[in-house]
Formats: sequence, C-alpha cells, structure tokens
Amino acid sequence: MRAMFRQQPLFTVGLFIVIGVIVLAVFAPWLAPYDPTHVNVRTILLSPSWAHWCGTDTLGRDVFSRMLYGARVSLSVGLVAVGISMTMGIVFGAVAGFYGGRIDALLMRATDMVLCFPTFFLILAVIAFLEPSVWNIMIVIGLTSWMGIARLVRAEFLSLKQREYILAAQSLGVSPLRMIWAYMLPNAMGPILVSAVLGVAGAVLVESGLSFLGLGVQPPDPSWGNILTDGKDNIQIAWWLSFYPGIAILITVLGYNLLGEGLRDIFDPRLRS
Amino acid sequence: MLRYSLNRLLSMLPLLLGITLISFAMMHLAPGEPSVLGQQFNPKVSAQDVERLREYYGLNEPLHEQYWHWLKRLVVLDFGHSLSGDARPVLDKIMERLPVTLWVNVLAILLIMLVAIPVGVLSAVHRDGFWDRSMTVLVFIGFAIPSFWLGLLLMLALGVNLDWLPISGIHDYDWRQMSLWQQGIDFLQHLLLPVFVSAIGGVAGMSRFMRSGMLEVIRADYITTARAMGYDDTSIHYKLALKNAILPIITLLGLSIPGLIGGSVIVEYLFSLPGMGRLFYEAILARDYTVVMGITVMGAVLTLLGNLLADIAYAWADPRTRHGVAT
Repeated sequence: MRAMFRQQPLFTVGLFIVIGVIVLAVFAPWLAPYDPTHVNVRTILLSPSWAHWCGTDTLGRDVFSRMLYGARVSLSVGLVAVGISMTMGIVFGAVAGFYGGRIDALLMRATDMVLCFPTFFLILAVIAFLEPSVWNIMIVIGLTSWMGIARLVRAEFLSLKQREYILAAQSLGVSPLRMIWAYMLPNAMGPILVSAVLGVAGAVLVESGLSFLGLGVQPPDPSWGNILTDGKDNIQIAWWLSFYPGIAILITVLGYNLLGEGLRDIFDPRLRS
Repeated sequence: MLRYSLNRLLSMLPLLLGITLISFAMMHLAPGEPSVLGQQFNPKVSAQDVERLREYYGLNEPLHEQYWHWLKRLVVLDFGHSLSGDARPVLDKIMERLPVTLWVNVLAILLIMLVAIPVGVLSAVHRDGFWDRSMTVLVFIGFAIPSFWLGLLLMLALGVNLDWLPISGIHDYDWRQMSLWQQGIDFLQHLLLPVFVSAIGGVAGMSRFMRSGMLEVIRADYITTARAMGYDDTSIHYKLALKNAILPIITLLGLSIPGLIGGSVIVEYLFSLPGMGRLFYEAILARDYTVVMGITVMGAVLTLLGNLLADIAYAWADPRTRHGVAT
C-alpha cells in the first residue's frame, strides 16, 4: 500500500483530497460552528476572524458553515449527475459497439448531433423551461454529459469484440445481454471509471457556474456558487465572499482530476510518460 | 481543395437537420405553451381567446406540421419574434449582440494558441525538467480553477485595488468623445480580462495536448533518421517536429468552440458585456423562449461552422487529408 502511494503521487494526493472533502460534507452538521441559514443582523459582512473563520455574508450568516453545507450540495450534484451520464453513456455505447452496423451508425450520429450544442447552452435552455432546483440540476447535467462516455464505451467494445475469448463465448451461444454485462463491460471498466471520476470534477464546476448565475441551487440553501454571487455584488467591500468558496471549488475539482489521472496511470501503464 | 470543402459542407446538412429536430423537441417538451402560459388563470381571457392565440401561433396543428413550418422559417433565418415587451425579431436581437461574443472568443482562441503552443513544445523538449514540472502543476490548476472565480479575483486585484483595468462593459463612459485610435485601445482594455478568463481552460488543455503530441512526434522514425543524419536538436525540434505536432491542434481548436461559446454566458455575465451570452441569460430569466431557442440553434450552428473551418484549415495544412490518403 505504502509502495503504491509512493509510486503514484498524483493518485495519493487526489485520493486524500477527495476523501477529505467527502468527510467534511458528510459530517457538516457536527463540524459547522453556526447554523448555515441563520440570519443575524448584528454580524453582517464581518471580515474573517477567530469567531468566523471565513467571515460572514450580507445576511450575517457564517461563510465557513455555509461552505461546509455547500460541499454536500456540490458533491451530491457531482455524484448523481455522473451516475446518470454513466448509465446513459454505457447503455448507448455498449449497444452501439456490440451490435455495430446500422444501430451503431444511428446512435453515433445522434451523439454527434447532441455534441454540436454548446453543453452549457443546452443546460441553461432546459433550466429555463424547468425550475432551477438541486434535483433538476443533477438530472440536466447528467442528461447533457453522456456523449463522451458513450463514444469511449463504444470504442472499447469495438476492440473487445475482436478478442478471441469473445468469439469463443459467441460460438457457445451466450446471450447478447449476458455477453455485454458479464464478458465485455468488466473489461472496459478501467477507462469508464477514469472518466467517471473526471466527470465528477466537471459536474462540480458546472453546478458552481449555474449557482453563480443564480440558476442553480436557490438561496437560502448554500452552495459554493451562490456564495460567490454574493461576492460579485460586494466585491469592493468583502473580498472573503469571493475568495474562500472559489478555493473550495478549486481544491475539490483538483482532487478529482488528480485522482482520475492517477487511476488512468494505474490502469494503463503504457500511457505513463 | 474546393471540392473537399464542398463535400464537408454537404456532409454537415444532416447534422444541421438533427440540430433543428433536437431544438424543436426541447421547445415542445417544455411544460406549458408560451401563448397559453400565464393566461389560464386570467379571468379576462376566455377559452375561445386561448384557442385563437393557439391558432395564431400555429399550436393547434399536429407536431410534424408545426416542425415543418418552423423549419421553413428557419431556412430564411426567421427565428420569430421575442416574447419580451419589445417583440423585436429574434434574429435582430442576436445579431446586434453577436459581435462582442465573437470578438471575445476569437481573441481567446488567438491567446490560447499564442501561449499553449510554445508552453507545450518547451515542456516536451525539456521533458521532466524544471520548466516541464512547473508547467504541469500550472496546467492542473488551470483545469480546476473556476473561470468566474479567477475573473472575480482579477477584477478585485486589477480593477478595484490597483484600478488598472475597467471591470465591466465594453466602453468607457466618454468613449464617444475619443478618437478612433483611443476607442480601439479602450475597447481592448475592456476585453483584456474577459478574454484572459475565457482562455484559461483552453490554454491548460491545449498545452497539455501540444506536449503529448510533440513527445509522440519526437519518437517517430523520421526524427530518429534526422538525428542519425546529424541534424542538430534545435532544427529537429523546431523545424521538423513542430510542423507535424501542430496539425492536431487545428482539430482541437475546432472542438473547443462549443465550450468557449457556452462559457461566454458566464464571462459576459461577470463582466457585464453586451454579448450573446448575456442576452441568453436575460432571456432565460425573462422566460423569453423564442430568444432562448434562437440562441441555442445559433450556438450549435456556430459550432458546426467552427468545425467546418477547422476541417478545411486542416486539409489546407495537410494535403494527405484532402486526397483521401490514410494518415
């Protein structure tokens, strides 16, 4: 274990960051020094101090406590959105790669079409039709980010299909569903896992962007993005509102990216440069 | 060359049709019809009035006919009228906002190429050296940094504390009194931060890509041959390898266009630029569906055009592609 950590510094640092953020998010109710939604007119816009580590916002709420609760939002959006995009991408990619021919052509053309849209436009347009809420954001981010995974799974399946053990299984009459699920998918799991981890990083960034625009998590619920919106409006008087939430996003996204890149190195030593 | 371009252009038609289908589906999956929305609880609006409105907007026709009518108008660039108070044609509204968005994105692409190519090449040439390692760290940070946060910090530092750069809009208050030259400088000063913020993610990705591309080329046989023939390192790296490593960048630039256009919403919101992204944001808040759909279609069309340009540029730079020789 220790040897692996030494050999894989990227992976190790990433893993520690990711676990750290998850722990903070899970134990937020016990760790937060204040109620994240408690409005207090006597503590409006206080700069960081021992009592309020990251200062207070325009309604006198403790920014550090809000950030701890914001971690819950960011991580759950990231995980659920990636769960949705993984499921869609794996189903589309597996069917296209396994059956090939016309089904493949049809599915891949559909993927190309969705890829033409700037993803952020697509997300915003759907949000415009629905109401912005945490659930809708998870679903919308998931539904607009499956294309990369679909292409990846398809490519993996196309190459797996040529392997001898698959030909052998085919000649033994294994059913297509079982073939995909039990014979091919496990062998494609490495790259899928890597892009899932990187996908969480992307989803966290998109969620914070949406919340920053006021189209994501709605106040009074805290999110790193919507604390930053407050920061933008008070940039001349309260730097801490802009500074700390951004650091939280940066470290979290960095953690997932490092973990993903580290996993890539572990699964595919050929790529190590 | 011309034939290749025309071929590429033709092959985009099915994609274009697909884009309109998806957009149309999205518009009609939305709960509530725009003409009926907000009217159903209005006592002054009778059921007949609603029916008249639906007829006026063609909403009583079957879906495929509605799509056909919408498509026919789309072909002549008729995106309908804005649902907001001014009821202006959507196309006019988009067109007056488009130049700012294009300026920011074209300048961002230039900045990405200017920075990422040298950074990537130097990292590959001095692989695992001090430069390469520090650049790798910066690239990881560049990937993870939320662009709007970087923008906020830069506004705070350069705009508020040091007062070097303007932090919003595209003109100074008294820009009409300036000479043409001063106006240009003023415009560029206003765009400096937005362009930098839009480019940061692209710079990180592109320099990483340039590095691995360059490393791959350096390993190629013809480079070994050149080395064996006694060429010095400098001409091998910068004359032979660079040309081949730079080719894939063209494709990647084409692929980065949707991200840039999508990102313009946040950048234009942050710096209060009167561009298409900002219009999109305002339209979403106002539930101005025709404008939202118009810009969504426009964004996809711009992406297609960008990819087309990238393909043509690639074919121009690499004759093998346009003659159909496998590379």
